[in-house]
Amino acid sequence: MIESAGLERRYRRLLAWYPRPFRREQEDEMLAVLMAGARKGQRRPGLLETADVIRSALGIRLLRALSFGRENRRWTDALALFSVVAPVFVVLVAILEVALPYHLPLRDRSPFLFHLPGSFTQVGGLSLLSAPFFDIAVGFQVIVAAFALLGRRRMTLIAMAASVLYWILYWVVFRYGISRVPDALQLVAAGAYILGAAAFLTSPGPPRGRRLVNWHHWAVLLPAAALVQILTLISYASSRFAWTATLIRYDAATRTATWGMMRPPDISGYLVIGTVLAIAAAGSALALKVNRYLLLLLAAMFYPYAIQLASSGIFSPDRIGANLLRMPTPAHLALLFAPPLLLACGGMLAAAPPRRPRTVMSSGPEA
Amino acid sequence: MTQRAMQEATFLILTALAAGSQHGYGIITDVALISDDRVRLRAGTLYTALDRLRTDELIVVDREEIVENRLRRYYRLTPKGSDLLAAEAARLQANAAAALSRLDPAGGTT
Repeated sequence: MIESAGLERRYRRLLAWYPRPFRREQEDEMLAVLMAGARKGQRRPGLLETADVIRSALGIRLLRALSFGRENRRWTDALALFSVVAPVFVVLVAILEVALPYHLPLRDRSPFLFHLPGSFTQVGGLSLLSAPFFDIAVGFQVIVAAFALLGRRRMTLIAMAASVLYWILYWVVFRYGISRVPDALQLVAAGAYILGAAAFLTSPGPPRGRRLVNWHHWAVLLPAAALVQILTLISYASSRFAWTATLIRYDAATRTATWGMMRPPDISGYLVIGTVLAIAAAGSALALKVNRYLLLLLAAMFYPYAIQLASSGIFSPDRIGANLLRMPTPAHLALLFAPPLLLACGGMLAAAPPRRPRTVMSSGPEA
Repeated sequence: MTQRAMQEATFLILTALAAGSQHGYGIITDVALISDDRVRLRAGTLYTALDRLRTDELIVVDREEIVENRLRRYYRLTPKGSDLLAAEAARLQANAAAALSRLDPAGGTT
């Protein structure tokens, strides 16, 4: 009896590989089958038996995550939610970008710093609104978000299409203009639009998303939007370009210009704030049990921005040339946008209703 | 639409249920019997198959019993499952007949 209890406990542990909803329904039944098939005196699951259960559990997890061949309400809902929260999130990022004039915490503050145009002592702020293209780009984002919040599916889609068209035209006509728009806004918006297209194509979109959205989602997205700004600031501050450009000192009396090196600005405070915001966003997502598929979509929306940061700012502060947006080769574009595109395709497949019932299993040799 | 061939384990599970409802371990022993001990299903494989067959509405839960404090859930074929099994059996039979007729000169085409 003791041996049997030990075996049963180990089988239950093994069955924990299955997703919880499957276990709730099948665990006792599977346990009975496993126990019935156990040899006399067997104390632990056999190797082949263990491998078989793990393979089966992983297969069921994969099938249920993607739910190919049957409508997956959680994916559909996640996409519908995304169609509302993503445009609003992009506007939040833009507002924070404009509203917060970032003063880099330089250790050696020169009195001349504030008098030099483009000194990078202030990044963003209201000055951004005077930059060509930026106000129109943000205007489009506001319109898209407003239609999404109103639950207007078609109008949101039209506004999104117009916005994308404007970006493309501006890119073609005035190539450097796009660099006036902060990277964060460009990349977060691009990720939001790629995944948003999938949301519009395969889910009810804003009308349903508006009904599903609640304060849980904003509790995650607000700190996340602030985190984007903190990361942007850290990226600027970590880039040598941001602070060497401020070091020209001109003496009118002697007609000499002095070039000096300054120590990098102290960003430890921003790192602390960034960490707190990241923990707040992740903690809220876990504690409030936000739809995991929505979190996956949001992560994919962030991905291009994270890759851009990794390649140009935080992780290679001495290199200016690693900016993927400034030199958009096909490889760079693939690196930036392939993962969200793939997830968009996967999400569309998972959320699509079945066209015909499947009749055969898709697993390998089974005996 | 081209119908993919049914995997042997699926075919054997449906065959085991063709005579009447069975519980999980019953299916395993019956499949071993039908296949002359050539196919021995393991629990993980069986429940992956049952999950898919239920999703495709080829089988349904017939009833549940508690035997010696253990849950037994019995499955049975749906009409759709019966039709599919019959179609697959006919297809296999036709293929086997064609192969045998060609192997046998008396009944072959040569």
